[in-house]
Amino acid sequence: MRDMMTRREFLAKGLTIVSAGVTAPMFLTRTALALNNPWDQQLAAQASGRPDWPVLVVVQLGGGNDGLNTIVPWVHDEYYRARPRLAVPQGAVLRLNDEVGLNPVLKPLKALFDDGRVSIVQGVGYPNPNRSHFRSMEIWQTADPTGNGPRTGWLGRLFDSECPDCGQTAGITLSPEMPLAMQGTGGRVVAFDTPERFGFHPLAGGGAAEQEALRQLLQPVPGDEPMVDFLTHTEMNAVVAASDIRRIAGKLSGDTGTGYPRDPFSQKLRIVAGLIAADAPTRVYYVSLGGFDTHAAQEGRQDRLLATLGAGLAAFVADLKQKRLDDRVLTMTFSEFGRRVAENASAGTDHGTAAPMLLIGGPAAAGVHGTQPSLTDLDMGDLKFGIDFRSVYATVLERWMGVKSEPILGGQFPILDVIKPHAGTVARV
Amino acid sequence: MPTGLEPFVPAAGDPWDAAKAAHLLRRAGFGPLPEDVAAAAAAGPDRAVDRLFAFPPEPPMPSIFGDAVGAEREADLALEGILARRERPKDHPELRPLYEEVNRAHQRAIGALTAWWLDRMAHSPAPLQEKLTLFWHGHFTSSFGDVHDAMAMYYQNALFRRDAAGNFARLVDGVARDPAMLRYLNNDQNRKGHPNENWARELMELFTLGIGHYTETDVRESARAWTGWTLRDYRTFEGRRSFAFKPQLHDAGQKTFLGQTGAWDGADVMRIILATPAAPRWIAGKLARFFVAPEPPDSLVDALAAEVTARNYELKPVLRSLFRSRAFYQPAVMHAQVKSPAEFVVGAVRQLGVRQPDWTRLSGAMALMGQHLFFPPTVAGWDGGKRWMNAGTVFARSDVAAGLITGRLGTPDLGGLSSPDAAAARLLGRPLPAARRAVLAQPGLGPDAVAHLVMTLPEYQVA
Repeated sequence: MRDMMTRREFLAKGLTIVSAGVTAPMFLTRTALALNNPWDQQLAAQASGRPDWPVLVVVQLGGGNDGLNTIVPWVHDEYYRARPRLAVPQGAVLRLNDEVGLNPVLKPLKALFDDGRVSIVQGVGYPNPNRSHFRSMEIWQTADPTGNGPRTGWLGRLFDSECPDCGQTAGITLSPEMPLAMQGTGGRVVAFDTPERFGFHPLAGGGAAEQEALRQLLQPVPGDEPMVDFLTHTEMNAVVAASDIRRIAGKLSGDTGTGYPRDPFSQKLRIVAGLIAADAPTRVYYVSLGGFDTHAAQEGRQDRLLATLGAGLAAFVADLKQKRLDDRVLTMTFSEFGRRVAENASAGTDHGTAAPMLLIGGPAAAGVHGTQPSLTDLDMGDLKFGIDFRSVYATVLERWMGVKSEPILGGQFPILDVIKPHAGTVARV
Repeated sequence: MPTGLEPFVPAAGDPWDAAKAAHLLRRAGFGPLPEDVAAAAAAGPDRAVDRLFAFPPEPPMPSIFGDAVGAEREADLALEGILARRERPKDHPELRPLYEEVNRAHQRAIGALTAWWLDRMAHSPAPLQEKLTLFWHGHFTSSFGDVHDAMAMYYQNALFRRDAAGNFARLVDGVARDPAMLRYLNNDQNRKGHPNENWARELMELFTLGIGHYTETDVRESARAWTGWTLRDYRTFEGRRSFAFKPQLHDAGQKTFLGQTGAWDGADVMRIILATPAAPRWIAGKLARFFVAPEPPDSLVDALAAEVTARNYELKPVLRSLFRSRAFYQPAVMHAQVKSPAEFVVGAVRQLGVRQPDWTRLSGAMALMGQHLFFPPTVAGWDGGKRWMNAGTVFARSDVAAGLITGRLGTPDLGGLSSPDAAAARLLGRPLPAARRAVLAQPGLGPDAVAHLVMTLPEYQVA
């Protein structure tokens, strides 16, 4: 059986159709847009070499990760007084400087930090913090603390404004549900658990024949109504996207990555590395690790989750380095909030506010940035934020993705020195 | 100059036929069956259109809110006890699980309400009434995600159904007093000296006028007029929230709104808005985009707006002229709308004769297709049109078709789908292009696979 048409072949065929003058107004528009679109031009130029655009991997820590037991302020007595049971002992902290250090379960990240690949942004939050999981996650994902803006995600708006007619896989979420952060109005994002499951599913028993029939059915027919013609191309694109993903998935099975742990989070990062290495046309990958809502018996639970996070990220960076992709990929972690400074009666912590974010990879400007929020000057028992999370987003958008952040974030936010200057342009060279 | 709104007149070369009847029933309903099409074709255009408006009496409220009402009562009693003892709720952690149960009960109820509505779309004797209810849900949006009250969402849905083809002015008035809307656009918090402009702004921007027909000052003055239009402090015995006008919260001062000065309140604002020429044109444009074409010609919208004005916002005669119009039956209009997920799913259930459809999983699949009923994505509703279709939603549609055909999502009756031609007739209401028909006629594709492919095809995604 002949292989599915590749995206390039499809693009080429599209151009042929245009030059042949077949009446297909919708598709004409699409193609004209595509030709003027920088991302699609990159796609078209792809034949001559490897893709070179910057890639962002967003890691969402769901439930509210306790920042103080992640990046531990070991020098402050107030930390130990507030957390008689939960504080990480001074002697165990993996010191990053003379104020803070890593929780020892994050040992793999310490090695990356020493290697100059981890940027820690301290005290990140936003004004009038909301302590509801749902609302605060929505605020982080829409980048809109007021709730009055469009209910689209900041990454979705990136796809809308920077690639209005780019392919169907500008963003990939490694879970069946699409987070609000990735949702724009254009819908050029796909979500799947396993790349092998994404695509057209023939009925049991009808397999190859039905798949082949669909490919033949999606050939444009001269005289199709404009909307049917548009949908034929959309569906063909989808089949091509799925075929891309499956082809890439095929490469994945031969490439197991180096030393990823068996847990689902690490395995998703393995798939992401594989997709990038297989030249997927994707700009942003979204991976979640949940369960950080540690109201009770925090220590064992958070330790296990942080260990999973650290080991997974370290394996991911090692794999990218081995694939010579380390300078093309920036990984950013965030959580909807940190947790209360004082531990509660159940050896846990309640919903809090500001917390650190991590930027990891070759592009990260290594070091500890921002200041540790005061542990005594609190807002209802919670840390006061020092850096607005939208400043971190703006920095990622401007310095890494190479786009204007203001239209996407609905305002201007200070650019931070948390990413190496020109990292994004270096990636594009 | 013809506008397109002139009545379609059947002629020898352009008769009233099954294709036009099917087009009418697709746009005014969900997945018409061959027998419906035959009946409409035989009835002729006037009677076929008139029959659309035979709306049944209001359906009884589904009994799905008992848990939510009970949980609320229990939590409220506990809270009242604490307040009566002059204690602080935050010192009573036992309240938390009570209110968590309230939330869970409402979550379950909104799921049951979605299933109830989808079933009604599939089986109502007046599909147009449900189609219009869906239209209003996307126009006067409110999301359960902000309202958190399934019963309030039900009453809003019932309001849309009752006035589906009624008077637009009456509908706007009903929406202004609707508890779900008061909550969703925060007019319940709009009070004298502390105005909340959310409702006042969206009322003009999205519901009645469109951007460009008012100023920021009009928004602020309107917000002042709407102060005091809020919720009653207590629910009814049945657990229903209701509207209250609270004079003590109302700003009774002079306002200048759209050029008119007076001590206006909300009702005056509605009256002034609906008297501006932009208002009939806004709703006419919205109806034309929903029922006719994504970009209807200006002349048609202008003519429809004139009809709205002439009929004093009575929508039934307006919709009737639209469904009778020449423009509605233009070849470029037929098959030119992308089916919404609701049209796709409900239509598929009808056309496959699915008994006991699993509406819960089907509504979950609709969310994957981009239409989560009772959770519109923004106050502007669903963009619709081409925006429905992307790589993910294409496969979500195809997977639902497979689930219905194989019986995983209900029990289908596949009797009428024995050949590609039969499948095209039943599912598309028209023959396939020869090239595609030939592909489906290949040996090796069973009737189930043919049905699945037809429902995956672009031709099945359009209405």
